Amino acid sequence: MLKGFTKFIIPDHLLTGVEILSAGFFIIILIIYCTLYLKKRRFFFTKKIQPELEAWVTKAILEDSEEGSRFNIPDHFYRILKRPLAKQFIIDELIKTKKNLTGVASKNIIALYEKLDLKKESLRKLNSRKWHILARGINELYSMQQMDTLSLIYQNTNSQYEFVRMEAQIGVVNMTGFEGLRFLDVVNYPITEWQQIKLLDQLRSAEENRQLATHLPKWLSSANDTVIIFALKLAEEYQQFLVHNVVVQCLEHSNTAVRLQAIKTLVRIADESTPQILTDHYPKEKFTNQLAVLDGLVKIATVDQAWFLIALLDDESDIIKLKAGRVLAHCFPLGLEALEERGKAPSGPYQDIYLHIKSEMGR
Amino acid sequence: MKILIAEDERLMRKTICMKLEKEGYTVDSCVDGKEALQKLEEGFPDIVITDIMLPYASGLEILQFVKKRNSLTAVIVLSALGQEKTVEDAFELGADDYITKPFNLNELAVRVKRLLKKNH
Repeated sequence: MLKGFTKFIIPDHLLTGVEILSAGFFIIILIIYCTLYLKKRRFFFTKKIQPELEAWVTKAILEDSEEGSRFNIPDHFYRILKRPLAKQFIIDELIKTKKNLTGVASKNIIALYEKLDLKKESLRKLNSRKWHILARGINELYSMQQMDTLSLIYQNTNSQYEFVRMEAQIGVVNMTGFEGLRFLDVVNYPITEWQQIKLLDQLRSAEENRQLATHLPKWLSSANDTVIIFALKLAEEYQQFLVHNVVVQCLEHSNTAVRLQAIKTLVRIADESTPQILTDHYPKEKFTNQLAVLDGLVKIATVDQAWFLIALLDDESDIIKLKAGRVLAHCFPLGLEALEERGKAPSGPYQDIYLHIKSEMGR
Repeated sequence: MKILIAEDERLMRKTICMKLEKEGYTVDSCVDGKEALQKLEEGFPDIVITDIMLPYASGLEILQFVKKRNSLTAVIVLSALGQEKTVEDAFELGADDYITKPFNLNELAVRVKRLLKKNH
């Protein structure tokens, strides 16, 4: 291929080479010019319609009657809204504003969205083959609480496209609360850490579901490891004591991340057997999970774990020594004194550990 | 009664302005923290309603500026859910009230009325 290009350096073909290069440059400049021109046109069009649309929409939002029954939409408004750009502008503005408002104003925004037939525009996006348009359509529909589109949104909760899947999962939870979590039964793509945070955040504004404990065992035995992790987080966040034994089984899972979350969840839903379960499990764990066990024991250890912890003070890792010392100091009446005694030893970091924990406890 | 609104979202800002104008107040608004501080240099309103997250200067900086220069001006902070720590900071800086987004416009109007009654 390089040989093919080098022939243009030969004086006989130089002119052709220059012509091809110039044509190439011309095409690139033309494309850049057209793109910028279209962008500029869009920008000026939006600027032109913005004040009028905003003034009218604001007036409509502040209508005192609920459901916007008295909206009187001017004819020229419909003419403006024939332009897709204007439609998208209004949808975006309505969504942004609805996120910040509740009460009559929020209901008016939904009513306005429906009355201006903007729902049709959002539904059209659901048929797009481009993932970003599809995701946007889902976002618009759930933001505007279009409950009749729930099944359409639900179908996308296991989409092959990550962002479509994320929007759909957030959407069903946003619209139906805990009920929406039924997508966990079928999802076989990973649920990212960020998505889990967003789902938990959505659930915070939902009414608590008493049926959660009945669904959790199924999710805790899912073939999808991220579903198990998320279910463990749900059990932790909503303190689902009824699934304690199922969570204990997760300690035997082959995935380290699942076991780590199981340890954290067990600490939060601990009963009298949990400290011993965790100490029995400790030797089988990897280093990072061992640290998590010790962090958890600070909150739940009992006198039965004292010997286990004293033995850990001789561990080869200083961080294990420190964490074991911390549990001893926090959970046992004479724990700090025992550490002080150990600190008198001529070798080892025990004096530093004792002083560090003492200062921590003094804070 | 004069109110200054600092909110970066256009439609939201316009809606709050219109709501409070409907209630009979004289309302001025600005899109970012820098503009808010400039307007405050020119004169203090009775109430400042500010979003916490603003470009150029945050709501907390506006609050600090107001409380340093004019303790008679009341400040209502608009915060998002999950910004409890920032709300605490706002109260320490002297905020008179806060509202969590999403909020009801009628509730905002009631709080404004209550603050004005308290301060005048």
